[in-house]
Amino acid sequence: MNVSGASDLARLTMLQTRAINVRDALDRAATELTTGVKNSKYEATGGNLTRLFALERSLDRNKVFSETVSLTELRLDIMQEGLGQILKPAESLAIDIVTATGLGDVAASRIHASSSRAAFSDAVGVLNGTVAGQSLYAGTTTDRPALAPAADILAQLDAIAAGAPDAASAIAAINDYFDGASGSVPNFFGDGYVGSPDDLNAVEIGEGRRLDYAVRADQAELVATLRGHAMAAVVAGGAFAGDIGNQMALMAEAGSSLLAAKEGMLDLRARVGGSQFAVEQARAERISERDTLGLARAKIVAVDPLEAASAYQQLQVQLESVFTVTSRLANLRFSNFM
Amino acid sequence: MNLNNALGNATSGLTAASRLADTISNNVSNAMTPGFAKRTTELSSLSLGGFGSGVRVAGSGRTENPFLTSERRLMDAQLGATGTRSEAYERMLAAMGEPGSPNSLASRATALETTLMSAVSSPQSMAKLSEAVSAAKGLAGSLNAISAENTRLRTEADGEIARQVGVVNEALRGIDDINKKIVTLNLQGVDVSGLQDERARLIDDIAPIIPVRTVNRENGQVAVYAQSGGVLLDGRVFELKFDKAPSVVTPAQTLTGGGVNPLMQDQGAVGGPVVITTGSGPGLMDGGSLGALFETRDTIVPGFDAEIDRYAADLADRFRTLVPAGSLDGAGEGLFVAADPGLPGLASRIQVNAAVDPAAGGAAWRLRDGLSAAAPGAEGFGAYLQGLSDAMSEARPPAGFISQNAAAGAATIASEIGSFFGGIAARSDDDRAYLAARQSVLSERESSATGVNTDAELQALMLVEQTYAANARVLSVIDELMKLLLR
Repeated sequence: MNVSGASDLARLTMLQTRAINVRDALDRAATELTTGVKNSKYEATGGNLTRLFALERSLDRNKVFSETVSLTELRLDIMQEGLGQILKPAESLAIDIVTATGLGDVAASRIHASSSRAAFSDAVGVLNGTVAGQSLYAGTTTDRPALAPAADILAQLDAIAAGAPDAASAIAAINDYFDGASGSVPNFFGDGYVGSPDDLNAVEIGEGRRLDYAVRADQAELVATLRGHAMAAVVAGGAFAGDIGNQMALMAEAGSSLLAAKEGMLDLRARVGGSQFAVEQARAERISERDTLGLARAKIVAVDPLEAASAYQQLQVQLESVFTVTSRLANLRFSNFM
Repeated sequence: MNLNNALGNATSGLTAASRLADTISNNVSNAMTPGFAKRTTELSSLSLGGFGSGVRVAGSGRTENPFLTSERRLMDAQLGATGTRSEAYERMLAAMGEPGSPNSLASRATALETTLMSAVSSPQSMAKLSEAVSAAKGLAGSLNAISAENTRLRTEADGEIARQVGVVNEALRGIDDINKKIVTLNLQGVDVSGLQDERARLIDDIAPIIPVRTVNRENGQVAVYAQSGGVLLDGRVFELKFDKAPSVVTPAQTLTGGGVNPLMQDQGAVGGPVVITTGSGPGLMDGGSLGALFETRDTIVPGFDAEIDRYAADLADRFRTLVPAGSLDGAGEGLFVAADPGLPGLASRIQVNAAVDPAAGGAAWRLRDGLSAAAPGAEGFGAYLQGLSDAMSEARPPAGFISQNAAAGAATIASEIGSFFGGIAARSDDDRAYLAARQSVLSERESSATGVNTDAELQALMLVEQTYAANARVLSVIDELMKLLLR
């Protein structure tokens, strides 16, 4: 356009428009420079905002998955640790009791009976354990312990044993107690286990990855271990006092029960171990997923600081030039030379 | 030829120079007046009986460039239309929130999804349940807010139509008035350029609203037509008529369903004003901001509103049909309810079921234990929560949506809506930027062609000065000669 031929008003508006345009661009550049994020997400995504949104949603979901993974990891770790605490004494006592009863060593058997009674209490303590105030083994009723206090259960067992005429019927009665069979009263499922019959929900540890890791205190493997300990514990609780034959028969049953329960416990620990592995893997996956998503997002919306700074400087120079031109033009008036 | 004649010639030269100086000073004083067109003084030589007898001021003119002016006016209209549309989209999007900002519809939907997921992993946590409830309320609130903004937009568009129709009618009456004055003054031989300036300004007032073409008529009158052929002023004013809606324009009020009015024009028909199709594109008054306002009121906003309503319906349906039956309330309703489940305006009525809303006498634990639960159940029970979370993210084929083409979860549908309308808005923004640039170029060119250049005026003034001095010198010489004769 021929500036010199323009009317005063046109020249003024032209200069104003240019200054405004450059100033606008400068404002936009300043925002990009300070926030590090592109101004127009529409332009940044080439019009496909859903792409950006999908990344952000995945990042949000990833965060929840990661939280769930951390929470589950802690629960599984404590569970594994607790199961180990139950398994260890059961394992050693099983061998000790079998050995002692095989040798007919009454004194050793009595000591093992007391150890078993203590191990029973310990096991109940472990199964009533909590993580962050929530019961681990009580199913969905996380606000309650899984089992009645060990003393209560032992008292019930002692009463059952005391009512039995001989070892065989005591064994049968204790088995009934732990099977909850034929409505025997009291029984483990009615009076020992006070948690919920429903498992905790499976947890989501990734897109489409649900992990069902719940272990309940009324699970067969754990009940079998408790039953083994119980056979010996009633002996230490005074059943058949002075009747060595019946006591040794109960101890022998305890030994074989504990031995049999060991396999189940190992399986259970292996299962929890499998869950731990899955969670560990999920954690690594979530972290790498988060990094990948974050990077992809940055690629779309982030501004290279160096580029932004140089663009800003360029515009600054441009605005100064517009101002210079404006003031020069203002002085270039014919009236000044008349 | 005699001295008297020479004296007369010189005097006429002085008069002409004064008139020129007068015009120049007028131009210079109006150098910064917008809409002022440069005046020119036309001179012609006088001759009597074959002898030159001085200079005559033939008249004064007003610089015009009809082509540039008419182009610029059409551009004004296009800019007005795009500006109106672009503003409507901008506000619709502002209500919906930019993707990525925490208050956007899509982010709210994602928040509900993630808080539900969080609650699944810790069903006993009251904090997580409350978070999920407030996320659900946030999502419902977001839908309500978008719908409310749409209603506001339509109401404002309706009011703005009434205002612009008023502006057009006012301007047309003004132009008609000036036309009549110009006829009279032209016959008397009076300078009418001031009135022409005023008339041009009035036509410029109409230009952004309705694209106008002017046609020159006899005796300096102009007729005003709309670009697409509608008559606005030709001999008489063809007034526009518009009744705005009495109060708020709700989603149920449509042009076909009643509740909002069309544009009417007094075309001289016996039955009174007739209805003019507007806002469809080829309508008689379309092309400017008026047409765009009708488009906003009757097409753009209702289209968006309907999409948001469909989204609200999809949301309510997800939590009614995709969740475990036990988690519904006694009436078979899910997490989201609406007083009237009909589609128009559903987004404005949707709200979170009172059973879980602590502010409405509900309790957040019902999210976990079912909306009809009388008392809290097992703390760690997460099956219903899992059902809610799954319902939210389940990919379903989109039913009726105009912005969707693939099965998607609720959060993705929200983002697709944002992306779809965001795209349209960005394109209309680009249009506006482009048209604004074109308009400013055109109006600069127009102003260059018809405006005042003080440098050129002052150069002319120097010539005037010289002419005046020369004529004055001639006078004084003739005076000398006269004195010589008389002595």
